[in-house]
Amino acid sequence: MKNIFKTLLLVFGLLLVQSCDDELVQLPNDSLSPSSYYTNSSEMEFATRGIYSAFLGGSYYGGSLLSLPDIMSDNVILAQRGRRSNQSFHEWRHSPNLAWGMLYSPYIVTNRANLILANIGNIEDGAEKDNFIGEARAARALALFDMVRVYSKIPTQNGADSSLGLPIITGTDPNVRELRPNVSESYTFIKDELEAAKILINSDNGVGRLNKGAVSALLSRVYLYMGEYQNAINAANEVTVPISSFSEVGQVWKDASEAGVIFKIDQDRNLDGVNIGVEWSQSTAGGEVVPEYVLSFELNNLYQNTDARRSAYIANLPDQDGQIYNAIFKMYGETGQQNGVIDPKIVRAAEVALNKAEAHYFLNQESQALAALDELRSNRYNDYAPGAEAGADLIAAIQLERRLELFAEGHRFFDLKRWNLGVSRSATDGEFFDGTGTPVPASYLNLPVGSHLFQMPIPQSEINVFPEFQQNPGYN
Amino acid sequence: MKTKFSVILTLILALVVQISFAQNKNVSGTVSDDSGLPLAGATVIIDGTSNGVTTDFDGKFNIQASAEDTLLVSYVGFTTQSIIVGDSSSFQIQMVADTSLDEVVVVAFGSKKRDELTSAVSVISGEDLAKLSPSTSVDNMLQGVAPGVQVVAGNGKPGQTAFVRIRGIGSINASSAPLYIIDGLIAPNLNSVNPIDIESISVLKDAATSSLYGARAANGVVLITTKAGVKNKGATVTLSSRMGFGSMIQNNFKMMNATQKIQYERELASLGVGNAAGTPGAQISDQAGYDRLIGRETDWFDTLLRDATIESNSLSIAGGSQDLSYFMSVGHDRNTGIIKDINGFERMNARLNVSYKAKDWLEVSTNFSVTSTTSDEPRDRNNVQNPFRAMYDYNPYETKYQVDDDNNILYDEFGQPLWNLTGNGFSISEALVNNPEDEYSTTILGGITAKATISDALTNTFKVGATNVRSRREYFNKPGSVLDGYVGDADNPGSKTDNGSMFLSYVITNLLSYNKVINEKHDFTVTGLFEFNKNTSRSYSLSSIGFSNPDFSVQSVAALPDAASTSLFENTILSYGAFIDYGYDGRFFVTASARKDSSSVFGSNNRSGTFTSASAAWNIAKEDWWDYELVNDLKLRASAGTSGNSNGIGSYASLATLGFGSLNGASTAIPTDNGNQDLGFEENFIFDIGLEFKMFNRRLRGVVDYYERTTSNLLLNSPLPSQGGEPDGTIFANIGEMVNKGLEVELSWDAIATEDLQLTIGGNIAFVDNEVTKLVPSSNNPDGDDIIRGNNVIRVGEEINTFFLPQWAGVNPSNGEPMFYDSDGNITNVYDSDANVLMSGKSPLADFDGGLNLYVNYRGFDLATDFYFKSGNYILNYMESNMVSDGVNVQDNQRVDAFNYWRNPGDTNVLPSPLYGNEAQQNSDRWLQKGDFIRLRNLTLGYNVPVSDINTLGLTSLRVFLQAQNLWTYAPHFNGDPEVGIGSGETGNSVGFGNYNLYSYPTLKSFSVGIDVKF
Repeated sequence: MKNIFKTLLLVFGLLLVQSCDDELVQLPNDSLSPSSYYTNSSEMEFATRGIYSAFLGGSYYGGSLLSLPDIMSDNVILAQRGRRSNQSFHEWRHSPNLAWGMLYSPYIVTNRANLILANIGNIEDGAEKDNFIGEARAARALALFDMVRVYSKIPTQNGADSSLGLPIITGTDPNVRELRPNVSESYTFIKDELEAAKILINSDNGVGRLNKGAVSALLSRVYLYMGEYQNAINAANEVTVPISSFSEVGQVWKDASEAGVIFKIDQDRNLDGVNIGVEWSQSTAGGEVVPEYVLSFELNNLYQNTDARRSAYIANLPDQDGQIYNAIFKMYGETGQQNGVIDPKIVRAAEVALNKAEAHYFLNQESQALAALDELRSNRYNDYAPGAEAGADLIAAIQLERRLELFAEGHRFFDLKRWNLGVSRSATDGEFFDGTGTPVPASYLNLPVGSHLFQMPIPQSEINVFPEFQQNPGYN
Repeated sequence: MKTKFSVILTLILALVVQISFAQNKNVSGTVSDDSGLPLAGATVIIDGTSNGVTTDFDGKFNIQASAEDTLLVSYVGFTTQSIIVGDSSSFQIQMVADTSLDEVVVVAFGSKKRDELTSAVSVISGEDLAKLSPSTSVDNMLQGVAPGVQVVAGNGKPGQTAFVRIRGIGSINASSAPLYIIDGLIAPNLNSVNPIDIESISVLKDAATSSLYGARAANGVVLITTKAGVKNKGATVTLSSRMGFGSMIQNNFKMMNATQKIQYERELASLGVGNAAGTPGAQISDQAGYDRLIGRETDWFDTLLRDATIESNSLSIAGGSQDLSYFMSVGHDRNTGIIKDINGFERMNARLNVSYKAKDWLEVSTNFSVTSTTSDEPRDRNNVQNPFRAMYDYNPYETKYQVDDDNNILYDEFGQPLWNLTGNGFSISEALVNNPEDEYSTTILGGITAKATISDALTNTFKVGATNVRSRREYFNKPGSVLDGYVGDADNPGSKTDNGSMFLSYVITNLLSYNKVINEKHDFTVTGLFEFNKNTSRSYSLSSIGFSNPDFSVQSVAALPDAASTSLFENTILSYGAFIDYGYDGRFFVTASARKDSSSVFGSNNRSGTFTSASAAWNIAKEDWWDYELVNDLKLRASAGTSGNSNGIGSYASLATLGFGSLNGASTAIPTDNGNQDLGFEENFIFDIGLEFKMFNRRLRGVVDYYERTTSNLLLNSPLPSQGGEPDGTIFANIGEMVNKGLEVELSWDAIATEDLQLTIGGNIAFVDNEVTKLVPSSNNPDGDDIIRGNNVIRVGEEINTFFLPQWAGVNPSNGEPMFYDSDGNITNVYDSDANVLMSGKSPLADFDGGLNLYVNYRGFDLATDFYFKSGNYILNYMESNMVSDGVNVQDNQRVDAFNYWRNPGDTNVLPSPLYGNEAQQNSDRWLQKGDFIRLRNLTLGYNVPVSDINTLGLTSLRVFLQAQNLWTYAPHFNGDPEVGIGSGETGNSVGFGNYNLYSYPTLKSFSVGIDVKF
């Protein structure tokens, strides 16, 4: 008897040993294995939305890509009483150890797109599948475009084509280590992918997603950057979204209207809450601002009183000591809010018109250029009379309007760069509303054409983990 | 079958009873100790029966026995004697003390005699614990008691656990805390066990015993055994009660009073310090205004603090019959803490330990305890929402309630005084009432063990145990409270958060053990182990806004739920092991162990770790040739072995995962990590050599240990290039390495040992030296890149978390300007935040720490004193920088020595001129101070009332005592309390603890009276 019990005890013990082995595999309760996902169109839909959420990264459209190109230009001036965020960029002191770490988010976009494309065979052929492919390929192309304009030369710059571009990643291996191709290869990929996507993608996915019009609009910009002006015009002509009207301008920047917006990242004020406006200032409910950067007095004066953008983009706001600024009101927040949370606009009809005007101008088609420019101006100025500029005045007018229209949307630095112009700032104007205050220090007034500082340095942290990865000239 | 047995049984019983009745006689006697004093409570039983009695207060007993019977006489601390009754009917029995050589030490999965032990184990007995400074969390009591066990109190909050590090820091990203085992069960922390229930604590410091715990033991093991009843012994009831009060330890600096603060404000304003101009002191325009402010003199320490009331009561009952023994206890602890208006900490616990001999081959036992705690939580953050910051910041001319120009308190329409928000815009007194935060926890530890003796040599022990911790927190921001005005939603006033967690861990263990003694000299034990452990953690968090009534905080009354979340994590460990113990003739001992652990946390390629150890000991003084009489015992031992660490690593760290989020309210699917299927255990290798000795008739006792501990395969985040799109930018991989080396010495000396007077002096000291030897390599640093954690750095070749700061160069005597060193080491007045310098040798880790104790016993009176000392650690004194702020914080109260600023050219030994306050207050090593201190942790004066005086009351023992805690501290370099653990509970601290002070709960000084009664 006794021995039977004891034997049973041992057998019981052994059984237990056997049954526990399976328990060593434990899976999370809030996430799946990526290899088991992307199997049907609803999963592809969730994953595609995931691409767009990656655009909201803080160093990308969730912040820096919209602010630094203006901070590094002549559009804004540092407010001395702010927190001095990004001061090193404003003063062109960037270096590999003090770099804009912008590569991360666009490559996250790329990775999310690539995972969809790698698994797209799991769903049936048809329009839905084509649309997923189109969105993924367009998003990936936009991501690469955004990186190369930051870190590489723009094709219209001297010697751009053979200079360093950025790796084209189409696989899903997180350990990939690719050296930098040249700018020409990078832009060819961007252009080809957007063209391919344009054929596959739906004509309407909503303004918060890429669609045929958005891809065409982006192509008009890409071709303009490449100096392929006829292609830029052709792409612009495929865009059907009208420019926002005079009365809609303010509404668009309160997210109360989508007029003229071709593609933006649609975020929820409470659930997503990415406050892109904090790049410029923070503010209290009482209407006081803690400004980081305010409009340069020069730019402020360029907005005429008849310009709808004057009140939509600028507000005279005091800080807690009562100093008044030409504060950047464009990203102040939705109606009634001052938290800086609004949707980042990636491409708008106004830009497309300006792309077209500029392309026509460089093809010596001045009347079409003027027409495209007036299409915008007639929607911006009260009682607007058609312009009559020609020659150098015309391109100056196009460039001025581009500066006024796209202020604080991340264009100015790239535009100066591709026009082969330097940055020059006022030596006397300060940050207050009337131009008094502290001017920009003498050493940070001019960034000459051709300076290596127009190409952002590759962050040292990237080189540390991939020593062969090429740094931009001038930073070693 | 059954009937047949019963018949036979009845017959035998009848026979036995008849025989015994026939031959019984009355046997009496006296039991005394080795010095001849009567022993009360000694057990006398007749061998082989359950008949037994206990001696009375004069050591006398009376029992019915026959001439053939053998009396077994036993008493704790003495060798059990067996006496054949024979013809005598009266006995004088003198007991012989157990020599301490036979001290039994609890080690992994069993116990050993002290002289058989081959490894470094520090033991604290329940008796020792009773003499230590009391704490609701036992880990605090271990401070300075066991060399190599460094205990840093979290803070002074009642119920707060401590940071315990055994032989240095063992990890960077995983946990460095030891494994706590209570009665064989893995315990989450030590505040779930009542110190009074503890029989002994063994701290396993080296590999020889700890590696038996394999993958969990890399940071050492603290083994706690709770009390058990004694078989064949009547119930002993023990009552312990303690009452006392506590207060904050006085600072070694003074804050300004109203007169001083007003003067300071006026001085700075007249100097032209911008932010002083608006201060109330500077704005005084006439004598009446001055008098008004002076008339508001408020001592904020008195206003916000009170004396803590400390109570501790417990009752235990222990005893046993022939087959069963039991220990049960209940306890209640309360410590109100020193903050006015909140209730502090309260704990209830209950325990039941039972062992039953179910069959002659089967012993079943259970250990079960339930602990429940309640704590009113103050905010532990770095602003005046924390009362311990408010009491320093509020100005002495600011009042608790609003006052008018005649300094009369103002009332609202309901007759309630109006709270004064002060210059800080916040009344902490109001917040303590209107923003209550409470934490509740219940911990259940329970285990069932069955030990089967299969044959003389073979035993099998099967054990199932579970630990369940439930905790719950409620935070109510009442509608209409000041804080709600700041952070609440105007349309939906008031907010409430309920969050909590449920942790369940169960362990199934089976041990099969074979023991054989050959030729009476060779003693072998071979043990096989199987163990399975599963841990489940769940949590929830719910919050709502919109409460119409401040009295109701349940969320069902709220207007709008605004957040809800739950989580679930599970992990498992499966283990097999084999252990061998061999002893030769009581002189040589050797052990070897191997254990394989597999953890679900790690990658499929590297899920298992095998951990081995070997150790040996030689009792030199037992050799025949040993004839040095001065040395009574001498043991040399050495051990080496490995163990693992996975604690603190996320349950699914090795897996590639795809998670879910949302964009604009619609679901998104996003890859969250690519995982690492090669992820494995962190490994710990420890080599230890030790010497134990007893000399001069064992009056001088000592232990010396030297060890080298190498932790390798440390889990670190290895960054990847961005282009791969890895979601977190890094791969978590086994990369780093760290070495801790140390020397531990423990001595105790019976300086006087007469019948009336005993005096014992003891002490211990442990030196530890940490060096990081490998981190994530990069092209610049093949040995590994620095890991910067705020003001500290982890760098190869340096102590972990060495301070990394710009260097302060003092005050320029010619103009009072602050000076710094630039990155080239030149003195400059231009501060550069990038000119960080590695402060080699300066880290939050102490170079050595230890304890000193003195124990005197004179005719029933005893005096125990314990000191704790610590040296070589550095602390950033942020509190000082706020209180001597060079005018930057002139709006808040300041220390009196803030007046000592530069005034005239040539001034030295002064603070910078407040005109350069902002420059001077920039982050630098100006506030880095050495944390050396020695503290009188405990002073106890007790009296054991002689048994003869209390036996009429029916008591067997009565002790009364007075106890004082933290009476005296000497900290030569540090301003403020040098015992810094948690700097600021709500401020993230990647370094862990001890690196800065920032207004966490202060350490308390306390006095109490106590009484222990046994009957």
